[in-house]
Amino acid sequence: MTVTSPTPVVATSLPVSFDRVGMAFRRPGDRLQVLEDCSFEVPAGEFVSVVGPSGCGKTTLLNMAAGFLQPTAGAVRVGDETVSGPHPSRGVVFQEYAVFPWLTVARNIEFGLKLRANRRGRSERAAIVDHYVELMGLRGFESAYPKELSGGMRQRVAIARAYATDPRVLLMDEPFAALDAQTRTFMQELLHATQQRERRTVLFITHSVEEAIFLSHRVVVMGTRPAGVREVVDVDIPFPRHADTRLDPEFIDLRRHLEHVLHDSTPHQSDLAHHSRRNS
Amino acid sequence: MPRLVSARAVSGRAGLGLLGALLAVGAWQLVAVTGIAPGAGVSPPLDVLRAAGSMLGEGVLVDLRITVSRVAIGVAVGALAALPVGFLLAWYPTLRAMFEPLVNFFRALPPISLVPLVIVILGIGEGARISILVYASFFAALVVLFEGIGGIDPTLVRAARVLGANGWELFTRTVVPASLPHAFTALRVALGVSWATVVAAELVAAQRGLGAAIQEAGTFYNIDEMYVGIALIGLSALVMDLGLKLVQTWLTRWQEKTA
Repeated sequence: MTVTSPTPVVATSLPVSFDRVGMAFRRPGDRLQVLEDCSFEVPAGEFVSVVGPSGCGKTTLLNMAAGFLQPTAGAVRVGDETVSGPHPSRGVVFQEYAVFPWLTVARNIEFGLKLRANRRGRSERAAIVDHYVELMGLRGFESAYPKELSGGMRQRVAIARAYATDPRVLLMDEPFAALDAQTRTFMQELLHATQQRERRTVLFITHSVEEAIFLSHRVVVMGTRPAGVREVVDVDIPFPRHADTRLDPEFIDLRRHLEHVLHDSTPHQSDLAHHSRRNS
Repeated sequence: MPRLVSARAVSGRAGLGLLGALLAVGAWQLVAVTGIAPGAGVSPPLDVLRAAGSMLGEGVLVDLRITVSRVAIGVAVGALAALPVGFLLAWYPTLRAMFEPLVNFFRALPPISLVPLVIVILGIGEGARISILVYASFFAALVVLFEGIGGIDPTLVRAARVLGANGWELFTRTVVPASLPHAFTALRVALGVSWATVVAAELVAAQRGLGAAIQEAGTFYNIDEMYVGIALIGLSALVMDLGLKLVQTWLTRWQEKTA
């Protein structure tokens, strides 16, 4: 079903499964259903993207996988374990970078390795930091503070920091959304190359269908009303992918298809106008 | 390169500050010689400088040292005590909701209004004077602290948690460093309030100190000496704040300047 690349999966990777997950927020005299009956899987070592319009609950999905939120129905599992709270086995990359401004690049990457949960010896820490500095193209910036870095470089630090603790699963919440188009393309290629070298389980949230196809084994399309999974599509485009891949006919066909699925699930303007007229 | 530019900017700003001070002294001189101010209240700058020279021989440096050490002790004790309380109030919303109105109540009280009460309770010793300074520093620092610590970016706290930080590590490796700029701001606010309070504190039967010296000068109608005392208070406050600012700039050099 899925095209797998020849790179071996990092041995510690685990699959993530969303099993009939629902999320409702209670408000006084009201109930806001954010997600309903969501099921899909991220197999071990695969890259799965979730695309959807704003407000479809895709970030809620990620927050549940991270353990920041508990679903009100169903369960999120990593391997055989149900997620019940944040844990270093699940690394998170945030849209706002969230690098520690008081630490240098190297010390940011090292942060998790000095905590009791996954403490390593000094020389091992140095080796891991060095490895990800190299992989993320941060050589020469090891002792720079985040304020001296561009947005793209800050996000590379955050990605390196998430990889460094060797998590079973990586969760990325629209990590490139705040970057300009050029940097974004560069970051997609960098992440893809990293994934070619160290295949890990990745759940990737994005607005961009193109980004999702380029990076993923599989794309989950979400919709609103009801908020849930619209369609799950396998991306049968061989790895590794290159800049040119974006111009392949099958890439473009898939993109067209997914854009259609996505836009059919967005409430139409006339629809909304009609709705508000009825209410007034 | 950046260091060079900022060094030049710093010296440029110091130069402008000096220019501002010179202009003020010039205006002062003008007011003094034209005599447009009523009464005999304005001494020319040179007279004041001469008075300062003669006061050096009469032990004004002892007064200066005593007042500076009172302020330093008041700020150190008050701000240090505010630190754990500030963390607690910032971290536990219930505690903050319970105590924030009280904190604002006590902070709003002018320390000078407490002087008679302090004399009744603590007497007229050094402890009574220091306690007024501690009081003023504590509440001034506390408000800055919990506002600042409460405003720490929650994503940084989340990031530390998913990297595996336990409660203690979260506190020492994320909350504390993220709070450092606020701690310095609190310290500087406390210092300012403490200097503003020290003369009131020295109303508590102080024999020495700049406040006592000003009062004594007033009693004997030594207007030049009054100016010397007032100027020394302002100068000491300025120098101490500058020192703190330098330490702060160095310790929080990672901070992004929002200018």
